[in-house]
Amino acid sequence: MSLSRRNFVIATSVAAGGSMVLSACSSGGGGGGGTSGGGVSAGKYSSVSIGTKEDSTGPAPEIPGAKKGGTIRPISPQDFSHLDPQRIYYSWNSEVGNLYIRCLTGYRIDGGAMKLVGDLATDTGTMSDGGKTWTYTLKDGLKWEDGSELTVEDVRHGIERGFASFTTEGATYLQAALTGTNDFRSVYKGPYDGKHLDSVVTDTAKKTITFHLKTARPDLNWTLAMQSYGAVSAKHDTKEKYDKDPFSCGPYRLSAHSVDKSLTMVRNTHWDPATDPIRNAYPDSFTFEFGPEALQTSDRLIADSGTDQYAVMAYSGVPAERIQKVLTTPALKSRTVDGLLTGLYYYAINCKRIPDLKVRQALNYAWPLQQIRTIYGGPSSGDYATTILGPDMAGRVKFDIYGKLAKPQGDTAKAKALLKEAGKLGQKIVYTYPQGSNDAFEKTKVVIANALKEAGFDPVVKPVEATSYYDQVQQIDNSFDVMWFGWSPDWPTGFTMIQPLFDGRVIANGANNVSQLKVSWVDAAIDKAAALTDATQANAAWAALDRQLMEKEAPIIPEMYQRRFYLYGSKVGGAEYDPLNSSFVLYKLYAKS
Amino acid sequence: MTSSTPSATAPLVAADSGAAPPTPTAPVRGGTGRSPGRIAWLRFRRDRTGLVSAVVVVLFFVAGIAAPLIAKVYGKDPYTTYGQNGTGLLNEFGFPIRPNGGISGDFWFGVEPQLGRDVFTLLLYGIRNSLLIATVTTLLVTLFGIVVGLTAGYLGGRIDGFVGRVIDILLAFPSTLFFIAFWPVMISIFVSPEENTPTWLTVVSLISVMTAFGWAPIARLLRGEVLALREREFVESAKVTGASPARIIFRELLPNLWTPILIQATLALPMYVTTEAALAFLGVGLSDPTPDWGVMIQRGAQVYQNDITYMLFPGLAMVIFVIAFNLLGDSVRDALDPKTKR
Amino acid sequence: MFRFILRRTFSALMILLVISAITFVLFYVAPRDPARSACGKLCTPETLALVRRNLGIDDPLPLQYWHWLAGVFVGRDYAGLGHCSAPCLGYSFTNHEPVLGLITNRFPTTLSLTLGSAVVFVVLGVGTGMLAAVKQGRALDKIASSISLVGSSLQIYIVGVVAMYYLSDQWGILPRPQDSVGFSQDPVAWFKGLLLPWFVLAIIFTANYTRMTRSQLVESLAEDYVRTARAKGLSRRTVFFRFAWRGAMGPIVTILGLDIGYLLGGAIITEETFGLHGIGALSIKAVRDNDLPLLLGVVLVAAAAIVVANIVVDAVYALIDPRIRLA
Repeated sequence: MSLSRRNFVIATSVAAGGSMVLSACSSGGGGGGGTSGGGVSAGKYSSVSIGTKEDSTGPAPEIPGAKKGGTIRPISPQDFSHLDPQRIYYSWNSEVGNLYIRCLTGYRIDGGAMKLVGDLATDTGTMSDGGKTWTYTLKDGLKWEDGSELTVEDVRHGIERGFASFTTEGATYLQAALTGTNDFRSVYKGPYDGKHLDSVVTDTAKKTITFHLKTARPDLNWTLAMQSYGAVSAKHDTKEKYDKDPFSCGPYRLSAHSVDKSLTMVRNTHWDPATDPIRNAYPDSFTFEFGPEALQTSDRLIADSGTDQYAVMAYSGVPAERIQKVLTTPALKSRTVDGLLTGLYYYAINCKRIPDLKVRQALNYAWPLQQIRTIYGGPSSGDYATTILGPDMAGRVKFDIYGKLAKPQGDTAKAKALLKEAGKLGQKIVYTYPQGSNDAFEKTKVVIANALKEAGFDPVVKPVEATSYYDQVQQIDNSFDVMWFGWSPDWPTGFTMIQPLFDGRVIANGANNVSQLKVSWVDAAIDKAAALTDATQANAAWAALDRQLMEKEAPIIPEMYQRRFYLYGSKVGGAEYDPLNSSFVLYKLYAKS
Repeated sequence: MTSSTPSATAPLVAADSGAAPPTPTAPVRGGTGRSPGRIAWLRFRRDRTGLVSAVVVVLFFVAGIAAPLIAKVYGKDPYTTYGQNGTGLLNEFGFPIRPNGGISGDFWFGVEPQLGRDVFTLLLYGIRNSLLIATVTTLLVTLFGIVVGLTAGYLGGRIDGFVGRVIDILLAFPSTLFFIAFWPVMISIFVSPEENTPTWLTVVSLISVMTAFGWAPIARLLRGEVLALREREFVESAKVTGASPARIIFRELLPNLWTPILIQATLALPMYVTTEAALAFLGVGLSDPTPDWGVMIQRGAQVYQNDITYMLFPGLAMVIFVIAFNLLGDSVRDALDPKTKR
Repeated sequence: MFRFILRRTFSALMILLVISAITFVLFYVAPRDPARSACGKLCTPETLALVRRNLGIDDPLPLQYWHWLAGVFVGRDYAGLGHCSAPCLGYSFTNHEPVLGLITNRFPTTLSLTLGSAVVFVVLGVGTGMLAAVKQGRALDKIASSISLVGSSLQIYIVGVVAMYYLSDQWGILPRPQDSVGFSQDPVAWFKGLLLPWFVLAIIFTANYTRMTRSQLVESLAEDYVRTARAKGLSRRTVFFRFAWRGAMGPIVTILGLDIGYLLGGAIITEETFGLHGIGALSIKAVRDNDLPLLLGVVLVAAAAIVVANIVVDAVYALIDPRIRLA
């Protein structure tokens, strides 16, 4: 319908622009909603845990009633931007990546619960040396699509490709940890000149691969589940061209791809379900269709005729225009899955320009969350955010320091009092948002400016053209006080949420700590939590830091945990929401006859 | 200028596309005693359609000019978010609770979805702003087109060649695309990053860019007319008496060109109203909280599934305005140029 | 004729050159960095520099433009992606597909939209125009003229939206517009999907043809040669089509050519209104993604469509109307 309101975004990227906001609408748990808090009970949030060796052993549990055969037809407005594992970061790409890429670890998803298990590896790895050494053993019977064996060298090759000059899009956590520097390409240039990384040791006979990290990473097992660390066969590596024709070790392989039109994945007969605890792979093939907008797709799925009975909405949810109809028609509602997007949407407060904590707290009190959510589409568009860690994060503890759930429309009186106390009545606040990425911003700015005025601020609305938005707000010496921002964790523990956003040592032009929070106790707490080798303790530490940050520093104004809502055809079975990639769990779907 | 307005631009482009097709709009002078203007006026007065549409057009302009007054009498303003402030106007999806877009005795045209502003005053102020932009653009485009077209046509030679090339380039420009790609950037360059972008600046830049792209067709048309006129005796005789080129252009040539100029101007005004709306539809131009006709239609196009009323009021108003203005333009043309009279 | 084409082609190339250069310069006026989108989430300055090199945007601007221009005429070698033979519009920044391929991919929709609506508006427009001319001054003429005037006052983004709401969603008379099914796959679905856009687009264009046809015919029916033909006792039909219509056709063909050229360049607003994916939608995508090669590509296509249409129109005009000689 409109410019860039396509959902090509991104659970796992900063660029998680507002594009998704309008279309991210969903039930609000039966619409009980109203004014206080999320209409969705906490039970609807997913839980996160680390699985055992048994959990890591294939095959994946059968889905009752599922049967093999047929074709599932996901429909999306956009084609995948990358198929090369080392270049995949966006979750839309990850979703299809799950069909042909395998990593050392992966997520087993069951009824909203996410469990980290060994995928290529027999378990989630053995950590020693305080998180500096990690060892994995490969399973038996792992094969590439041509029947050749998948070896530890292939796993290493995949990791080493992450250093190559053309894989700039992928994740960099492991590279940085292995070399001890963010400028890791200056240390190692990739596997193409015949050299290997010293810090990755493989033992072909024992089928083990060992990582010797320069910095302790007790959460490396989560990191390795990112497809940027998927295995690639050195023999079939076509470098830049691999992006167009990747070689599969998963249950499906690429059979045809017409850019921006369609993509077909067919069964990889050499994939052995006994090696795979995660994937079911019932359909014989997947045929992706690219082009139709969310509204058209919704209408086709509502009509539910012909091959559309086997269709699912891929990565663009039911749009605002149809949400009321879908939610109020039981027959349609029963053909939906929904869940939260992994990311947090928030307003970063520039701590360098607003050094007074009271002013930042006043902003938090004054912010008109309810008015903003009404513009996004009401309770069905998501839940008010009060914490930095989202509900789907491991160990997250809910709190509400600024009373946003009780007074979501904003407490301008309290804000004004605080402002008076700080002697900052009439404080100028330069608010910015990416103009052109989402029309909702054009409206939210109106209610934001109104609320700020009422609270005694002097609001200046300063939109930045969307295509250069991130370039500008990520400048250290920018002139913005409050910046719309979004962030999605790369795995569901606190580190990937808190460290990049609030570590004072990473402040730089182009870095993501746009709040420019530079507080030594926060840095120390981050180091401490990151070094904890016990997962439960670490989770608790992150949750505590979450609260302390909001209480003592208030560097951001959390906005929403957005909810998305997908329709599927009447002959599709096994539909489940993937809390990590915010989409269908494709490999669990089956075609009914 | 945009794909929505080809009908207005196409004939202009066509009228002089390299070869010289017969020019149907060539001025034909009446030969009787009464002045041409007076004849035209008499003809116009007899044209009932023309009069009715003139009244409609005038009403729109009056509504725009008197918008603050009307709003005061009506008791609402286009900035207050009534639906957000009070309950009972918008439902939890952000749409009006009452049927037909929330029309009631308090809100004659309903309530805006999501922000909950009053549609009636919003539309009044939107018409006011859009008409202002379109009118100024039309005047500037016409003025610029006259100066460039007449000068190039009369002087000829290298200047004419150069102007011709510039016009060629401008006409081949995918201007809509340029607006989307570059206008937001331009705006940001002019304003200090810590200040609100003043509305006047948005308006001025919008007008300038529309003018920059818009003058070419008129200039080209007038140039063609001048080429035909400059060989006529009265120009020759003025030359002989030693009149300066500027004098000849503006005192001798211009008075003979009012008919095509007026015709082009009447075509241009509704075109710029719709162009401005089309750009707003693509997200270029004025933005909230400044009321704008085009922005309302853009919003309407987004929410029409749930609130078609919000699309209908500004949409119908615009259609009516453009029809009335085109009818008026037709009558003016007929009055001025009896040759094409039906 | 040959000299005419040669001369016009040369000036057309000049126009395209200027337009591409302007696009290029304006693109970099903004403080935007296309490298960011390919730099991952935790983007370091080193990676950013690498991406710039990969995309070929670390050279000075004039050199970049020169490389691009050379690519169009003689092809270009890319470090990672291999040779791109002329005419090479480069590779998209976002998905590294050849720009030319992306554009030709979208072309079927644009072509379907253009030709389909052209058929509708030419048939309707010329038809009613002829009727009006024949029944000049009578009720039918007046009705046709007023309808065409109303039509020309309508806007796609208003009529299109309202038509979609009532005709497809509420009353279910016409299917919702879609373009995912090509003509070769399923002609019926293709036809149904484009029916509404064709008609809405046609409503707006038709008016022009009605008015043009009518006024041209009225004029040529009054010409001496037509009167002579009539006086000779030829049938009304023959007089009308063989003489009057032939004389009136020129300007109509001119407009048709220009309209088609215009539409082939991508109907941004139409595609936006109906959610179609032709060149227009592609150009919006190019803007949103900071995708300079793609932007240059679509700008060039749109401009080329217009200039080529101009040349073709002038040439055809000369063929139809022997009075016009090509200068």
